[in-house]
Amino acid sequence: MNAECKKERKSSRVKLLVFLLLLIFLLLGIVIGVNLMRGKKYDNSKTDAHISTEKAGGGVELVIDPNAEKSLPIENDNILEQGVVITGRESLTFSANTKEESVDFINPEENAQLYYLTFELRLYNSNGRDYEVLYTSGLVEPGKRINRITLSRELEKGVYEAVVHVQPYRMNKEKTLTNNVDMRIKLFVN
Amino acid sequence: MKKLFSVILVVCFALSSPIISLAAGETITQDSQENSGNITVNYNAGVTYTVTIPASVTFSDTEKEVERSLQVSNVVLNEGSTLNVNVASLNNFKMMYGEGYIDYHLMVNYNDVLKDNNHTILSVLAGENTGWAVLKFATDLQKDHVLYTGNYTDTLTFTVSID
Repeated sequence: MNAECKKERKSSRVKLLVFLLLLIFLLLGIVIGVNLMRGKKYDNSKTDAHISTEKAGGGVELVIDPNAEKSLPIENDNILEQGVVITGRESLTFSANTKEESVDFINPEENAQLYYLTFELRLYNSNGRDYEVLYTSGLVEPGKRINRITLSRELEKGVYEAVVHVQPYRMNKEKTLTNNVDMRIKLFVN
Repeated sequence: MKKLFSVILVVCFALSSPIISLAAGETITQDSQENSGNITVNYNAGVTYTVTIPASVTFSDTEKEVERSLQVSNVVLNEGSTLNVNVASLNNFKMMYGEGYIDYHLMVNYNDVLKDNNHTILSVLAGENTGWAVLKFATDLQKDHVLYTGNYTDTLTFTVSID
């Protein structure tokens, strides 16, 4: 019984092997056939008369031009442009009768490689149109902040209507001006 | 073959038993002396916000409409306050070069067409963390008032106030 079973298994293995071999031969045949057809097509293109936009090299060996540079995408401001990120506060608190003050004027990391920011602290007159500049910063790089400033004059105690005018500049050679932000704040002087 | 399979099964069960017992809700207690105390944690959340404005807009003969967004995020306001953003054009919605100019207009959220200054274009109420508006700039590039070749520009000022 056991010997018969073994025999049966052996014969089924042989059948499987034969089947696999046949399958491999079939696949090989298909691959060779396809390659032959391709080669024939290529030969036809050499000999047959046909119209083509391609032009032969005229017998000259063509080589890659080493002076050719990688092409950059055409600069389109409207596609590439990222907005200017500015952080704001509602108020600032200063001390009376001193010019040295603490502030927190930040150019966020989000503006990296894109925009410098400048900060101007303006004190508005009662008419709401005219203003006095108390402080102007230089260009602040992205990721940096200004914590200490010197005012143009000392202030008396009171609450003032002020504006922090934030002017961004592109980080290019020309340092081009962009749109800007006025942050209206309350200036508490104690 | 069967033997091998049963050995693998036994090993698998043996390895998984600690995982099963943990998942069944074994309580892990900290073996330390109990101490108690109070700590007061304070954080004074001042009024802050982040505004993202369009840096500029460029028109061309093929691109007469440009869409941008104005975004306000990380908004922390006093209860009952509103953050408002107004927009004003330096040249009253004209791109200028010398005395020559080209008109353009601004649509906010596809609705209002702004032709003059100081319109509120975005409001964020206290309790809302973010807000945004779609700004659509458009021009027909009427060149009646174009005197010279050059770069015709305008500058927008976005004024943020908390009312």
